Amino acid sequence: MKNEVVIALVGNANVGKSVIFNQLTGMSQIIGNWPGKTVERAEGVLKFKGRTIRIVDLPGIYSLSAYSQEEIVSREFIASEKPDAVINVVDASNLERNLFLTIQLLELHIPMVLALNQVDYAYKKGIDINIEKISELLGIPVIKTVATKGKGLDELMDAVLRVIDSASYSDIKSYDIEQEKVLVYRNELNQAIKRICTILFNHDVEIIKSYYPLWTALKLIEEDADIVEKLKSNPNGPQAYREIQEVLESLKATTNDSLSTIVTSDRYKIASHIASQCTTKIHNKITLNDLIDNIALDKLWGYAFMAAVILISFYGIFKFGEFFSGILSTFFDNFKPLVYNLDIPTMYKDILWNGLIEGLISAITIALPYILPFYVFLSILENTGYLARIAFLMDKIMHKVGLHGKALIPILMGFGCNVPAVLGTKILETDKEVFVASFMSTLVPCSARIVVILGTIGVFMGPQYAIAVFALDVLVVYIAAFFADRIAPGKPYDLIMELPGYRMPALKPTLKQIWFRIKDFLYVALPIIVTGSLALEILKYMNAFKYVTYIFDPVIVKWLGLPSIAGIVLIFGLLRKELTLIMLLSLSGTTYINQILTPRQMIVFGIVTMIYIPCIATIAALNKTIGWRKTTWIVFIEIAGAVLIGGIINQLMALI
Amino acid sequence: MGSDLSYGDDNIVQLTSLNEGDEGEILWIKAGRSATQRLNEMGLVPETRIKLIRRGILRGPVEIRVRNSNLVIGEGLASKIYVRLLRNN
Repeated sequence: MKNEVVIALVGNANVGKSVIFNQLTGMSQIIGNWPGKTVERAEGVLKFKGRTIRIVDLPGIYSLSAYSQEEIVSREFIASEKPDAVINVVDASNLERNLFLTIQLLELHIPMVLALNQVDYAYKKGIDINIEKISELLGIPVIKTVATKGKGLDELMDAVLRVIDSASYSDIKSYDIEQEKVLVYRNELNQAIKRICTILFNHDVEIIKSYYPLWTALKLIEEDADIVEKLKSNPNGPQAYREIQEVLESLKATTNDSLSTIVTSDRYKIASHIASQCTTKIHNKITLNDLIDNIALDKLWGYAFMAAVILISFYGIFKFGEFFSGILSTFFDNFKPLVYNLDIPTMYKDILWNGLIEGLISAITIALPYILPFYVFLSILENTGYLARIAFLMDKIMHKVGLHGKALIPILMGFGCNVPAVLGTKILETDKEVFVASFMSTLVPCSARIVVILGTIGVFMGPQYAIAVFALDVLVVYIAAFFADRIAPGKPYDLIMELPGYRMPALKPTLKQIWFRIKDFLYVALPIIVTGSLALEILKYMNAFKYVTYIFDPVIVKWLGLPSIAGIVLIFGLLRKELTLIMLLSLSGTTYINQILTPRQMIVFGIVTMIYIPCIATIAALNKTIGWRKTTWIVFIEIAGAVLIGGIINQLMALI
Repeated sequence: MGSDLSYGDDNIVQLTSLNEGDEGEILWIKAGRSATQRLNEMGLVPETRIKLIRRGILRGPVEIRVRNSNLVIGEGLASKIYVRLLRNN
């Protein structure tokens, strides 16, 4: 009996897998990335009945094909790290599709327990599942769970340990498909599997030691590129594969559909059969879910509702941000005298306070009060299921720039801060979409930039001009994305998405989710902001900025029509966008911006601030998400674009 | 693919031609390899019964009911799915 065991949680997205993971592992979780991938890896430890159980939460997947990073990461984990058992978390109200994955896990012949989750919710929808029957049909233990209430988890872990302790490992080569009771496909397929297994055994290829022969045979039939390559790279692999191809040729002759389709078809037949045998429909009422969707997805009301949700949320977020920003600012200002009372030269005091400490404080007082509520907003949207509705409503518009509806979410985040927006694009499926969405996010005016526009144009020229500038920005965002889509290589995937049922989000998992995302932001942004702040302060003292004006003046003064000092201030904007306004006022020694800039200059300044180079925290996020090459392109295009557009507006306004 | 079905079978339509409430049976999918596989894996294989719940505006995505859950499919992809119309709404 092993004292330390490793188990994996596998299941579709939206089935409550993370809730189970949270309940089992508590605060012991470590969240990171799978090496070389943007997919999250979550791992934790549970001490149960004297055993140490390492639990790995694999990403939500629908299948074990090589289609997405999530699927690849999951099957690699099962093959190479060979967990002692797997908990397949299944949504009781959506049995058939969930069982499609279960069938594939059964094909892998790993010790497995099925956690039938959200049974309470299924019951309300009129679905009753016979636990004994489904366990009998699948041949594995099935435990009812209501993860959000912590029900069934003890029995679940008991079953897992039973399954691990009683696992017996027979010689792989003795595998015979005729002994399968559950996994019975159409005749032609069964015959093909048998022949392929024989070929694999005869050639004694390595691959059958990683993945179970049945699963491997089916993957070869599906012509799974990854498995085919793995086989070919085994000793004796190419010869084996040639023989296997003959089997596939005769199989293809028996059907009009592709082999991959008939395998999937047969798997679903099994899943469907099992589901219908164990499910009783108690009633067929129209659910509250459907009624809500009749409004939420309505051609008119759906959009009205969405606009309302977004506007109210934004308003709430900005009010919250403003309020807490103020409080925190005042609080930290109390520490200023402490630093300035130290007995060291003024220069060091300035560098210490303005550079190091202010840098730290600004991240807390400015970024956090806006980012935190945004993450809360995002989590609620996600966990209630409303986010998927937004994706539906916005899909067509997003499609025009090569994205689909899901991409709207990170872009909306950009209004709070570009950093989490860029980091959030990793939910998109292709590199191309990640690039386009990240690019768009950096052009979305973050709260810092909104503050600059409102504080200058909004206050001194009137709200209509501020709105005009924002409208111009939206246009720029759309046009930029349009071209980015044309230029970036790759094809977009069309939207295929399950519309989850509406749920009340559970508090603890939601809080954890928000916490881990904030940590992500802090690890990326904080070090950069502090370092940058320090660097700028030192440069200020070295009088380096004099030389800057010599270089920038032709552009800043002649083309953009701004005062010379704007050039220096825009450099500070590289650190934090709101510094452009703050430094402009502070270096000019006044609190009234209209004493420094004319209305025409305010507009040009506002446009340039909105479009030019992202702040360094965003650049760090971009680098992490899309790599330094693409990041450099974006930076270059944005600086060029800002100068170009700002200058054109300036010249145009001169003519009016 | 599906070439043995008789032409002139008026009930074979693209998924995007269905009206809200119509029910149909999947016949075949004319999309690229990975898109087809993805649709298959979400449960859309030949002989699967589906029901059209709604269309997005301006030829937007379709929402269908299949195997006890609701699926949203982008317009381009949905137009490549061919179904036999079973029941008009």
